[in-house]
This record gives sequence, C-alpha cells and structure tokens, in this order.
Amino acid sequence: MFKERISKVMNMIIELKNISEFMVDLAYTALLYNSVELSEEVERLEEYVDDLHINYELNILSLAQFEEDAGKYLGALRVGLVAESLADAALSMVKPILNGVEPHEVLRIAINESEETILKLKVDEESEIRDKSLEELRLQETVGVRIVAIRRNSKWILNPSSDTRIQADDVLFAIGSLKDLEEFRKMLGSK
Amino acid sequence: MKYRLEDTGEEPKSVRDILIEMKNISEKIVDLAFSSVMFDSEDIAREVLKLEDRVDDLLTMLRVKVLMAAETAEDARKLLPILSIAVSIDEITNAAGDLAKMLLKGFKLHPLVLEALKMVDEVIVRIDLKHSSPFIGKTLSQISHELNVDFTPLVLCRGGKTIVSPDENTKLRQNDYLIVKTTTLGAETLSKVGGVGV
Repeated sequence: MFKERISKVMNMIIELKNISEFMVDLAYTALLYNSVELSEEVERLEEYVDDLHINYELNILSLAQFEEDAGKYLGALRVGLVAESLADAALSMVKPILNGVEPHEVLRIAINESEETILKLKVDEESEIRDKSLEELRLQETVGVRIVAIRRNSKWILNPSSDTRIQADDVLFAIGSLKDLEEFRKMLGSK
Repeated sequence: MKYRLEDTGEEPKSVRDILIEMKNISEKIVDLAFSSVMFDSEDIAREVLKLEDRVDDLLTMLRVKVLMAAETAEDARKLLPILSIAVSIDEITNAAGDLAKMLLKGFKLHPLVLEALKMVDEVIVRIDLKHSSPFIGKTLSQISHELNVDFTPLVLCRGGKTIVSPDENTKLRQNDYLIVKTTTLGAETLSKVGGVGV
C-alpha cells in the first residue's frame, strides 16, 4: 500500500513537471502566432494539471502522516507548487488570445528576441525528414532543436513522443536558439 | 511583493527590453531552483533569490512604463496583456524562490522526489570534473560538438564561485562542477564521458 502510493506519487511528479514546462513553451508559441487553437490546448492542460496537482497534494499528505518528520515532504509540496504556478502562468499568458485580444506587437518581438524562440515549419513532399521518427532524427542532439507540437491536418500532436513519425504536410513547431532553428530550417529545405 | 518606486540607478529600459530580460530569467530560474534542491546547493539557492528580486524590480519598471504609455482607454486595453504576462512571470519566479528558500531554511528534498526528478523528459545533471576528466581545457561548445549532445548549461561552480548561465566559450578546469539540463540520453553521455576518473 505504502509502496504503491510512493510509485504513484513519483509518476505524478514526473507528469506535473513535464506537462507544466511544456505548457509554458506552448503558451509562448500561442502568443507568437496569435493561435486560438494552441491557447485552447493550454487551457485544457491547465485544468488537467489542476486536478493532477490536487490529487498529488492529497497523496503527499497521506504519505506524510506515516512519517515522524513531515518536513521531509515540504519539498515535495513545493515542487508541486512550482508546476502549478507554471501551468497557471501559461494560462494567464494566453487568456487575452482566448478573449479575442490580439497580443501587442512588442510581445511578439520580445519572444522572438529571447534566447530561445519558436519556429513554425511545414514539411514538404521531398523533405529529408519525411517518414522518419523523432527518435531516428535525434533533433535535440544533432541540431539542438526540440519539436514541441505537430499540427497534422486539423489535429494537434502535443509533445510528440520519440516514435512519432513526421509526415508530409505536417506543420512542426520547433523550439531552440535562432542559430539552431536556422540550421534546422536549412535541413528541412523549407521556407 | 515589493513596489519599489525609487530609482534603481540603471538606464531606463524599453518595455521590449524589460520583457526580454524577464522572459530569459523565467526560463532559467525554475531550472536553477530545481538544481539548488537536487544538489543541495545554498549558493545556487541564493542566486535564485537574487533573480527573484531582479524580476520584482523589472516588474515595477514595466508597470511604470506601461502606465506612462497609455493615453487612451484603447491604449490601456492593448497594454493589459503585457502586464498580465509580466505578472505571470513574476509568479513563476516566486514559486521558484519558495523552492530555493526551503533549502536555505534547512529542509531537504525527500529521496523519492529526487528519484522522480531524474526521470523527467529533460533532466538536470551535475558533472564533476575530476583530474582525469576529458572535459578539462575544453569549452562548453566544444564538448557539445564533439559528443553531439545538446545541453543548456545552468551553473558552473569553480573554487567556491557560482557562475549562472556560463557562456558557451567558457573553458572548463579541473575540480569545476557543471550543472546542465539535457535529455536523458544526453545526461547519460555527459556523465559517462565527463565524469570519469577519481
């Protein structure tokens, strides 16, 4: 019972951290392209993180009652709070888009000029990376960019897994430094 | 939250520059806060608190700038999203600060949390450069190219000094230790190659 709960809590931490960090990237992407669709994804994920976080806190509290020193679990709660505030922050960033307000130009400039930025790229028929999986491409290791989302037809694949295969006409949202993204664009041979 | 209205003594920055600085800090402060608790480093925790203070100051500067820029209700409406993003960034830095403060108050991270943090998509690892590490004398960008591993350097600790976001041209020395964020695979390679020797 105790063991089960521990592994459950560990999985929750992993999920909370992965999703919340991804949400911030997604929110910046949404702002950059004034995308209602991406903003809605952020909104959906925020609700999910909220539930996950409550569940997580309850589990931590139950674990802590078996422990002499509850202070051991303080860190666990604060890690959860970091994830929760990242998720909340991501949502408030895209709120204006959801309310139909176009982001001010200066925001777009600020996002484009910070150390990491996001590039939207379409995969064409002749592209070298077509039909390859993300695992085969190892983009993070070779060019230093990470695919945060793929738009395929009208569907979104968020935080695609390593076995996701790139198809022609996919729209990739890649994150990285300007230099690395430029290299990636060349590699794709796309405009 | 502090609302300091006194002059911070620096050149007035544009809204754009303030936002860029805030965004850059928000991107690294969370990783730094996690590094401080994962590797039990009070120095890194103090760097987190410095950045948190800096964001407080930037937020005040931005508020003043934005208030001054609005002449009509229409302007004000357009400027609102800028403030809400800046406030969101401030909240991120506050949460990161709370995590770091916990360490400074003497609380440690539970082993199970530490274990879980090693299993996330992008992990934070510490590489200790013992005397025979092949990383000694190389720059961060050389290491990245030679091993074909992409990583974000978070902290370089050298002789009691903590350098946040070291430049990619920084040459590594013996007894340095480096904290980076990378993929699980990257972490494995970096630790295997760079952390060898005793």
